[in-house]
Amino acid sequence: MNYQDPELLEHLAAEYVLGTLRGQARRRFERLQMESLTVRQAVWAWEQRLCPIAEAIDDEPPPAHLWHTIQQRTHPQDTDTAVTSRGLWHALWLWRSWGAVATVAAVILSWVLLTTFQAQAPVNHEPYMAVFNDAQAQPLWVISSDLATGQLSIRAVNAEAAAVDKAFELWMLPNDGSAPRSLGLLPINGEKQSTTLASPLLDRLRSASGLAVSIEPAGGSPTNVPTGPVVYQAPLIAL
Amino acid sequence: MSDKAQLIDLLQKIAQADETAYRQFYEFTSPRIYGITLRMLKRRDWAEDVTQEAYVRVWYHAGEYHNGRGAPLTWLISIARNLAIDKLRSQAVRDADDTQEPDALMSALPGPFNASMDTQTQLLLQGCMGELSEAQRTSIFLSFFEGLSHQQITTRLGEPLGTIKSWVRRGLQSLRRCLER
Repeated sequence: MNYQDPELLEHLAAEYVLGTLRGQARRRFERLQMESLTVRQAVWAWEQRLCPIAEAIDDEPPPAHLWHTIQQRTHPQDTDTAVTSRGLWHALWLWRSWGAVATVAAVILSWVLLTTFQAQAPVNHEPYMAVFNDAQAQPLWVISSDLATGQLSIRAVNAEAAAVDKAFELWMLPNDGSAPRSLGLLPINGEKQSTTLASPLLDRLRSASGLAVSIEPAGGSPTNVPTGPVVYQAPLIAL
Repeated sequence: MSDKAQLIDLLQKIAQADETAYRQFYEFTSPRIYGITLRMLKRRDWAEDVTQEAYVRVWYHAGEYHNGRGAPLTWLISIARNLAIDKLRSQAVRDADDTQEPDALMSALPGPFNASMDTQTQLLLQGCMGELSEAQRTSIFLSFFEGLSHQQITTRLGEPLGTIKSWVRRGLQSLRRCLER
């Protein structure tokens, strides 16, 4: 189909706005709108031609509870703080199905969610975050830590077991070049885990040059330093 | 300040996360949006879903509104109608809930234009709709108001698919020519 044909474009834009363009043709035309300003402008013009028809429809006040439902969608932290953290994980989970998305996008999203969450709580926080991605830039684990409380939370977004008798271990890379320090084993298969770090570790973590993941025997490295290959690295970002 | 100017002002504030403006915008426009989506979907629960989604989009996308989209209400109605059309298209939803009867309050055919139509654009459109053949006008109304596809209009009017497609297409062409005169 030749979308350059102005008559065809007019026809498709009109039927799109009217609603008679359906199915795959509607999806294709939506894609075309994303790619072309000319196509969008044709649609906008038809919206302005046809929308006044809606004047013939009587107003109908929506039920009162609808506003509250909308508020829950636009201000989740006002109604339930638990929703915020669930929302964070859910949002990050969505990245997976969206395919390759840069780590920075996930971090910015998390930052937005965390800062809105923080705005509700007067407690001091010192949030840090790291995201390990695979080669296709899909997130495997999301690590968040509050260095003010020592809380370390790890979510396996897209990570599966390395092998039957192997485990993934998380390491902190100190900025002085000394040996990596273990932060424990990583969960897999969508699991989440939370630990509290000892205060000597927190100071080192604050200045760490990053985090790394190695493959270790089940139960973790027997020597307290990585024994298997380091398979992923990620910067630790202060939010 | 005209309704249009007032809504533009509110949208600009919503883009800055002004919650009072958001509430005002909702109070002012939601009866229109809920009325339109209820008319198209004929189910209160679906109309609520679509209205909710439309206003969530307003909150997050108010900054994307611009003059090229026409009046803010046109922009908002377009968002809501597209969501309603998608809702109607969703076969999973339709199949799962097919046993439920549409709300009885919905009439099958479009009513007359509101007497409150006062702007030049609306009067012009009304005049141009009046110039279409009865068949063209009914087909366009059934699609716009009820969200019917060509095939569904065929069933409703008992005419062949090709005839319905031709009525809609020629009706829209005539409408455009008339509006541009």
